[in-house]
Amino acid sequence: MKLSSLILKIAEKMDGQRSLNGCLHVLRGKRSGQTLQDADTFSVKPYFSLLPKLSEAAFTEAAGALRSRGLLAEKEGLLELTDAGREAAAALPEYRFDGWNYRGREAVFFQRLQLVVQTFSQLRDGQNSFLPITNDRTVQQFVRRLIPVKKESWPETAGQLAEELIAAIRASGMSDLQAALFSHRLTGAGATGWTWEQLEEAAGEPRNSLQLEWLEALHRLLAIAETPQAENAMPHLHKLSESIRVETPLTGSAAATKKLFDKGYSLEEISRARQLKTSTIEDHFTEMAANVPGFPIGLFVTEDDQQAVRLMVSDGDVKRLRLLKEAFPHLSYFQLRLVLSTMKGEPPV
Amino acid sequence: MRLEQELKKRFGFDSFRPGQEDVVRSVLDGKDTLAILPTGMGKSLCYQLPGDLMDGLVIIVSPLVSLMEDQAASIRRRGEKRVAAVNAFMPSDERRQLFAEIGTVKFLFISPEMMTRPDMTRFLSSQHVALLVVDEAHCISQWGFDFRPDYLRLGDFIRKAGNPVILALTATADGRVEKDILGYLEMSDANVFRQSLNRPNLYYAVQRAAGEQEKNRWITERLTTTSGPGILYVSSRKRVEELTALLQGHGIRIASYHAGKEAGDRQMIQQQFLSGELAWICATNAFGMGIHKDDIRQVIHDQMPASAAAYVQEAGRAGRDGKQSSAVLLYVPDDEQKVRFIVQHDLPDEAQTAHYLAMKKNGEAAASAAEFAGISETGARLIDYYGEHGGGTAVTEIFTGLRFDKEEKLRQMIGYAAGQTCLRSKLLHYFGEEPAREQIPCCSVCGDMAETWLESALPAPGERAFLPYEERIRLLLC
Repeated sequence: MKLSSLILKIAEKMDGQRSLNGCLHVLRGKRSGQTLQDADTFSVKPYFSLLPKLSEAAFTEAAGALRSRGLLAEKEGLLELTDAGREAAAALPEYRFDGWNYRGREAVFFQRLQLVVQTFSQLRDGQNSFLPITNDRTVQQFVRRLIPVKKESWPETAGQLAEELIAAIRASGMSDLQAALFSHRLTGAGATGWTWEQLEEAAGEPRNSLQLEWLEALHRLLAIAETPQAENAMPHLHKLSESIRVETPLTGSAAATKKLFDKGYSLEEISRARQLKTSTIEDHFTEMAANVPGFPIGLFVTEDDQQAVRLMVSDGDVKRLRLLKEAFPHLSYFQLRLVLSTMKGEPPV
Repeated sequence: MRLEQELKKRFGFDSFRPGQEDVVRSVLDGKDTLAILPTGMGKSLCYQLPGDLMDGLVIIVSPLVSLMEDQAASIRRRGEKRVAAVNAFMPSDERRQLFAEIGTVKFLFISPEMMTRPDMTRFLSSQHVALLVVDEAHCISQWGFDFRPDYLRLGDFIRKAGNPVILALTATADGRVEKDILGYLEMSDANVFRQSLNRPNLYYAVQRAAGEQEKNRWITERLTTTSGPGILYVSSRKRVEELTALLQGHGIRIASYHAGKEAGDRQMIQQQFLSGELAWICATNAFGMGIHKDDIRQVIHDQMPASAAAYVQEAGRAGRDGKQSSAVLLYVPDDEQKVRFIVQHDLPDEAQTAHYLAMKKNGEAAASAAEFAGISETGARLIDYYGEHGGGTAVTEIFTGLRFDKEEKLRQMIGYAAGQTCLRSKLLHYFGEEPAREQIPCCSVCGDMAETWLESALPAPGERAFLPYEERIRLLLC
């Protein structure tokens, strides 16, 4: 799976409305009001925060490849798909990412799984003490609670876990390559996990591509392990997926702003109290407007203005802020973004 | 007391390793003790055994979090569960809980930073401390290769805790470092035990080459004909990757290891090496601490380290099982300049020091001030400590002194690589020991040997292929 394929998928949704950078921000999961809102408006939440450490260089290179293949163009700073690009995007398989809801926490799920498998594996070979694959104390404590006290039940539990894993891989519909990557990243007695280099060697594909495959495989597995039915069908995997999904939709900093706002502080007062720029607090407000039901947007934008903006957006499918600003010169960008962020869930016209 | 009986009962060993018994007896006699024991000679037994037999808490100050966890785990492994480790990463509620239950702890591992915090000093000095162990005690000396100023503040604790018995442990200490340890830890009437650094089962060799290409050729030839387990030490991450790729191309089961790799990958490589799935590790000096593998047959250095102390430490990872093993240093005269550059740039210069201090004065956090001034973490720690104890000029003077010292240590290393006299005796001489008695095999100067004890390399493995996933999962769990 190539990075350029992800870019193509996102570009398909943002076609003509956003710059290339908007796309990078989505992949990196930038916590700005604008990006959070974009993720929603353009239905690219599945791709949000998939690659928090994505470098500008790698991104530019992948986008450049699309451009030179004539799939992607840029007009006045906005990215546009060519006809060939639209075709190529349609030909891509359907990915099952869920970046918005996992936000990198699939790594925690995998660490738990890795440690649980390693533990059972080493215990089976009578090695009660071993070098744990992760030094993360929270993960270690989590896993410790899952190991039965009674020694006699270890082999049985380990066997159940194996069957659950195999069943979940089958049900997830992941590819053979993904199943191979996933199972060789697990580690234990006599079968140490493989490094990314070793996986590259066996698969004959570059690491970046393999890591994307692996990421999607994890999202597929999580989706299965999380379901209420899994509680009975695959109890161990279900337990491992506990509290991986991000429950609070607000970023930490926005949550702190919300606390002050709920106490009756104004935007300027919050900015002063938290020693943050006004624009940052505005981002937090936009985030709140998008995520907190009943957020009093009327305090910032009159009912009439809200109506007018909404009408314009749904009529003309104009989502570009600059164009909206031209139409409503008396409203600030902040006000426009507030209105846009409350339009979540409305079907695109 | 019949110490052997206790040793057998508690650890299952029939006899002590060289040097251990004297140290244990000295501690049990209530004497402050400095033990200089080569790595792998069972340092931890020197406090575990007396600790078991003494009444009260044993505190072990240890500089590396990973090492601490490792040592705590190895004590638990022998069935002693009254072990705890405290470091700065521990959440404060866990820490509080630990203190509430301090009565159930016998061996407490703690980092020097934590130990010297006023609240910690107050709390611990109110406990009945039977023994204070200072591990890697050379860190207390600015002449040691890993100076940790926080160690200097231990003296305060020792006074407040009513002078518990002190056991200082290190693998390397020349005369100056020894003096610093005894002085700063206020061990005026201490027993000092120095176990010879000589490792009779190591054959030392220097392999000269005209340049990097020749080094590459030699290493390739060596690894395709002789077998591991072995470590190939390399000075930069870039070179680690280059050499690994070259050798993998020749079908050698080798993997690269350095601090820039993902933590999970590092663990897996280490594990593969321990289990024999890998024959070789190509690594920077980030690899080795806390690795317990006794059957390493070869340690090869692609380039000399910055000091003989570091070399002895790294090469000494070969042959812990006592079987004949080899330590080879490759040497190109150009190496001197490269190593000198790295070593000298490790220390902040005058401008950097001033820059750093000025930024900190303006309220910049230490870590970011250090980054802006382009100095290492150790460099920043040094400035902080000396800044408190005398101000800017003092800092500059001390750094000038340190720079000379580093150059001096590098000279020793060059003397080892380029010289014409017995390599073994030279290493021993650097640490104030008498020349070694003649032995065969000794080193490449005393008589170049065909290293017949090395087994021939295994045939190159076939191409790496995935197992079917069901099979692999069952292999792991069923």
